[in-house]
Amino acid sequence: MENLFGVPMGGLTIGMTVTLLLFLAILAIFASRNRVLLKLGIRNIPRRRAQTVLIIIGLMLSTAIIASALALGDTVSSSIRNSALDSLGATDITIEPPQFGERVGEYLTPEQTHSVLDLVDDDPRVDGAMPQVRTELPILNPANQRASVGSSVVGVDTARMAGFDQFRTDRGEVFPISSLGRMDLLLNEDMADELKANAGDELTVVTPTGRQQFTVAAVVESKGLAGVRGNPSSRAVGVMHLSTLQEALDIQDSVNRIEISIQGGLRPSDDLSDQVAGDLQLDFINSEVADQLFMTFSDPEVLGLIEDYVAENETSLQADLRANLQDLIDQLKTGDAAARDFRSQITDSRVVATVALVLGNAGRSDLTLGATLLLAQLEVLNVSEVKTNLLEIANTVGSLFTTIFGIFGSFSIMVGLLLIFLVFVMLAASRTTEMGIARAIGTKRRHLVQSFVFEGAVYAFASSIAGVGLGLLASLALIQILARIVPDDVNFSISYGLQPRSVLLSFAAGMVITLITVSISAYRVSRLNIAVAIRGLPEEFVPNPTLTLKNRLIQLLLALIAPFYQFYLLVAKSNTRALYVGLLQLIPLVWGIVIVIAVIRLLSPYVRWGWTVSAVGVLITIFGVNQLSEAIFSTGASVIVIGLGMLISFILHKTALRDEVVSRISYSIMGALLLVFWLLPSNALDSLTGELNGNIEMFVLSGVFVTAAAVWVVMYNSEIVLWPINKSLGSIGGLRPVLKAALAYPMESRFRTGLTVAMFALIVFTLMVFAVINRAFSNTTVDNTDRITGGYDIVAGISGDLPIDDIDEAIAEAPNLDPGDFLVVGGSTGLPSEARQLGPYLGEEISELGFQPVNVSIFQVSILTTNLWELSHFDPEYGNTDAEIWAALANDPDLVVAGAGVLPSDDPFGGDFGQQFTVQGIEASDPQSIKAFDVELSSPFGAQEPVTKKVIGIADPLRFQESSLIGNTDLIADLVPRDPPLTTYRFRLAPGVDPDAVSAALETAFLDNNFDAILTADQINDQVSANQAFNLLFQGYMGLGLLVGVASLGVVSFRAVVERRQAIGMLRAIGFRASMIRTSFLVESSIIALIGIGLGLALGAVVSWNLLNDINENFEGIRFSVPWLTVAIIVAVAWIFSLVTTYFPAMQASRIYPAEALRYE
Amino acid sequence: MEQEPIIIADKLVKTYKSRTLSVAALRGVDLAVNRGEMVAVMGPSGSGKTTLLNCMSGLDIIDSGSVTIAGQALADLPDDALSEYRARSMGFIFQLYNLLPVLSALENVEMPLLVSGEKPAHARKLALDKLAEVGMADWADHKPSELSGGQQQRVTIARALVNTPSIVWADEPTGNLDSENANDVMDLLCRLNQVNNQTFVIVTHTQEVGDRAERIIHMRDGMIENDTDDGAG
Repeated sequence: MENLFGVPMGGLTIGMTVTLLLFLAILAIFASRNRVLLKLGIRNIPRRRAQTVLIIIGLMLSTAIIASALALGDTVSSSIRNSALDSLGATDITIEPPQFGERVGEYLTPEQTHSVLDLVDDDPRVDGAMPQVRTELPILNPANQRASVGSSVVGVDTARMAGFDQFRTDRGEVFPISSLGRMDLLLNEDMADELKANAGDELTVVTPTGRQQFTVAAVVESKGLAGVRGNPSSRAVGVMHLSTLQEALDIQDSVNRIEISIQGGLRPSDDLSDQVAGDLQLDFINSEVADQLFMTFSDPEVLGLIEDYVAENETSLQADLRANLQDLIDQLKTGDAAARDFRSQITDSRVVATVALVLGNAGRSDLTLGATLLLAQLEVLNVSEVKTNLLEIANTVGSLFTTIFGIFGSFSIMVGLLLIFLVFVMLAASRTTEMGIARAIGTKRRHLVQSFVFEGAVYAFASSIAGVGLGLLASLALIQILARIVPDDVNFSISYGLQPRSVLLSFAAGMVITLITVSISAYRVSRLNIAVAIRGLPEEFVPNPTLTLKNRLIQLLLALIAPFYQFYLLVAKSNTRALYVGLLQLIPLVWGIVIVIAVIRLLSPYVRWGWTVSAVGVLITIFGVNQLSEAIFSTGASVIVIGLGMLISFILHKTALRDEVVSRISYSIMGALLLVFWLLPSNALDSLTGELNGNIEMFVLSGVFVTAAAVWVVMYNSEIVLWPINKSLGSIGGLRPVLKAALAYPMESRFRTGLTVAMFALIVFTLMVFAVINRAFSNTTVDNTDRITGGYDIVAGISGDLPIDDIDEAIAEAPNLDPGDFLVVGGSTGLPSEARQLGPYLGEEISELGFQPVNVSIFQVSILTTNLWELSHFDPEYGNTDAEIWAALANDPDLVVAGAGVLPSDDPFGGDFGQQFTVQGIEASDPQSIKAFDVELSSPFGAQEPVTKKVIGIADPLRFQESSLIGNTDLIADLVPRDPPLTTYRFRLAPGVDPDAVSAALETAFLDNNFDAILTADQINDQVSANQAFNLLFQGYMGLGLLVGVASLGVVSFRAVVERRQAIGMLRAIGFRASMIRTSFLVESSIIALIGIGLGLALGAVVSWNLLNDINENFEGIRFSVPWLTVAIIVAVAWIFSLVTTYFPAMQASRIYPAEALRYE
Repeated sequence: MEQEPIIIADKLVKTYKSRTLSVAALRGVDLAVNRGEMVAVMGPSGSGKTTLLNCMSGLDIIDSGSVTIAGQALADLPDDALSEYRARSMGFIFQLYNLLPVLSALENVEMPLLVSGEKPAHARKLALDKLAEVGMADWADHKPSELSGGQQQRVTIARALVNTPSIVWADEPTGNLDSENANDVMDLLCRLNQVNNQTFVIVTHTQEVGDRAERIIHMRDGMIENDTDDGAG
């Protein structure tokens, strides 16, 4: 995995490690200057071992969550990467004819093959080149009637094995390729397993020239040349002599790919791969086309436009692109069409796209079109860096995974930070008397902070190590679940992979965030009122003295020149401490913090009034609206509300109301307003603000704000919330006193209880949102099977090399099939192509002028007129219902429906897998009725002019997620030399017919066509199972967060036992039985946990309801429903674990003998 | 009329042990306290006064000997029964008041009643009456942190007496109070003793407090040194 949240992992690791080292260096400086404080801080650690262990457990969970997210990302990345490296083996680059449809069956001519081989054989950078034919043919094992369909057959030139890995048998021995006979076949392990075949067995290969018998020479590892390419439906591969396969396919000396291995072993450098592929590509471009392009671009008008563009955008263009454009300009001025530099630039897609943009902007779309047509014909052969590309995909998917888990994990990390804070609040609480005395005898605040941070640093170090260990262990368990999610037919399997860099990053990140939290809580502790602390009374903090405005301004001035002021002190007053401080303040981050603190101090007297906070909120809100950012706008609005709450508090403090009442009123109003604001549907304020752009950060922000707001409201109105509990359980005689004690304590320590409630609420909130959304998607799949399957019962793929001429006729002739069983039979195929939208659309010009990749799907009329697929948008001019629109395609090859992928997406989780064709002027949330628009569909062969098609509808995203154009079988008749073979067939069966039996009969009847059938019901079930498994994986991961909440209850309970020892003694003295003490503790933690769980569930339900409404705008049919079973499991697990954690302290409390408890001070 | 002993301690022995130290707190104490008697247990620090009170009231366990209260040997009662016995028949007053800081004065006072299974409304009425009796009715809704030491001790007394216990155990009830407040509290205790005929066992090291009792027991080194009835009574 190379990136996390878009930041390179290497940079992130270095940054975090440097920050940590900086932190440690600062600590070391302080420690060396005052060793007593170091000793004071550290000596506490071994004094209470059980407490130390508990603290480390509490502190390690954030690190564990970070480590497990990184390990998951690494594993996904390395699994795909290893599979790619395994199956490609030594192959780094492939050369193929330009493909227009994978089934068109284009081959390199013998001449092209020779020229490629001549070139690479003389290239010292190349280890070897393997011309080959790779196709899909069915293979049968007559001995056991097993068949392998959808499997690959490769013909290799056995004389050119140099540079490629030798075939190894499943026992690890090298198979001598020279011994491979003409009618011998090597089976890879997957195929051997599928056919249950062994060396020596006779197999039948179905070829276009007839069935042929082969002998299995050996079973070899599924690697290298015996590995799959791309993502076929089966991982089974059979290898034979190239000439044998050429003969079987009747293609004489042709091959359809040449694989090239370059120097550098299994993983050569990207640069070398780039160079070799780039050089090879230049050798296989059409010189005539290059000449014409040179002429077009060197036209003084065009050249002038490019030069102007580069000059105008000098600063905004990326350096390498600017250099390439400049090189192109130089070549156009002084070079010629044959110059490699020129050719190199015109094969660079970014350079070409920029030139097209320049021409388009200048209104020369005629030139753009001409250039586009020429460029499409430029490459004679397609050179692809197949290994580099696959490894990039591995990294992208890995990063995507970590991002998803990182985003949801951020809730757990936040909760973990709250726990760290809570642990230190508790630790400080247990030392208040000791610290109060220390302060009384002259210890300064900063000394307390330092001694606390020294102690915290040791905990942070130990907990970060333990956290990394726990996180890696947790990830091992999660990967077991992940392995279940990966479908069997995907070309990779999950194997644990972890980069040392991730371990370092999680350790450093864990330790840094722990140290920061420790420092904040240490500062809080240092502000304790000395007298109150000595008497061990409830916490009371000393407010910072308010300086005069003049002094605050001077402080700000000094902060602006902070390090230099320190150096002045050093020189003028010989203050050696100033040297250290000055050096420290020279670090920009530290200097910045000093300035920010001075600014806060300057404004602090006004901050209390609240209106200043609201004013800042207004500024942020306006900025958010200007930036069209929902996150900034919402944060600003929340700051306004917080300011308002402070203002109310400020005003009420002037009245005779008690502090408690003032806090209650102001916090309740603040919390309630925040709740209302954040729980509003996302478009509720659109009429005021216009449409703002919200992304996944909105989910995180809304989670934090609604939880904080709800906790405020609940904690300040606890008696109302607890009234039903009091009323119901309180009527049970024995429980009455227990309940009184159990409820009074948590509601008295609002800060502590609020923190713990917030932890539970945040985690359960995330679990709930995920569960509801997951269930909604699963339900949508189950409720809308026809929308997905089109109403067909069976879907089957066949080999493009073994087409079925007329399926209806073939069914009628097949002895084991009854045509009466089928209501509808129809075929289709998909072809990669390129398209662009023609503007203007509804009066708006189209800014994207270039062609972009799109998948073209052509369907037989029988499918177009019978399917039950839906459309999200259509032009009513062409029909009033979905069925009428589909039927319109059947009658007119110039009409198409576009897949939902053509609509612009703001999917935050969508990985960047390359630019696809998208349309402008229509959004998913637009009304169903749209105006049809034109697109131009190109032929990469360039032999034909692009053709114009009219898009009359957009297909349902539930079924057609990709960027595609769908039409009838004549759609591309003008673009391709011959009709592409149909490779997918759909069948709707008559009522009462058994789909299983028919599916099996179809596979038997069309075995020679490599017919691979699947029941659509099974596809739906697989999808639902995958959803459920992903939910399980997520719940497992979030379980770590729940562990944090549970741990916090444990910490609170253990502390409570210590704090309340005397109270326990007194309660026992007045007649509380041991069991009542125990129950009281369990009821107390249950109430905290259940309030948190209840809040999380309720807030999660509302937020997911809003989210689903949003999604429903783009994705009709999604409906909200509460996953009761999941809710029950969440409640049960969270509650039971909190009871278990509290049970031990509760037992401990109940066992204390009254006199012993009363003696305790 | 011959006095009836309500508390009988027979050869009480209690030793505190730590890893390095063993301290004999009670070394064979024999004591009988009559019903309605107000007894002061006095002695220097470490003489075993509080230990004697804890052991006789069942708050602590004894190494040997026996304690019988109203004819019931405490050793025969399991922990739950002993707790119940304390809830119904004993009241406690401590030097540090030991009020629950999170409950109001009223809630603190009604707690023993709730433990005894009293109905909430009735418990509240009794608690309010008792607070009124100790002069704290106006402070019923205040939490302990909002009360002075003397006020807190009055609430403690109200709590100790709210379930009309037959025995009230008081450990240094005036230890944290100034002399004026201490006198007030002792006046209150004496009045309640006389009005309700409840037995009071008061541990104190203050002579003024001892002088208010009917009987003074002097302890030294874990044994009763002197048992006199030269107090107020």
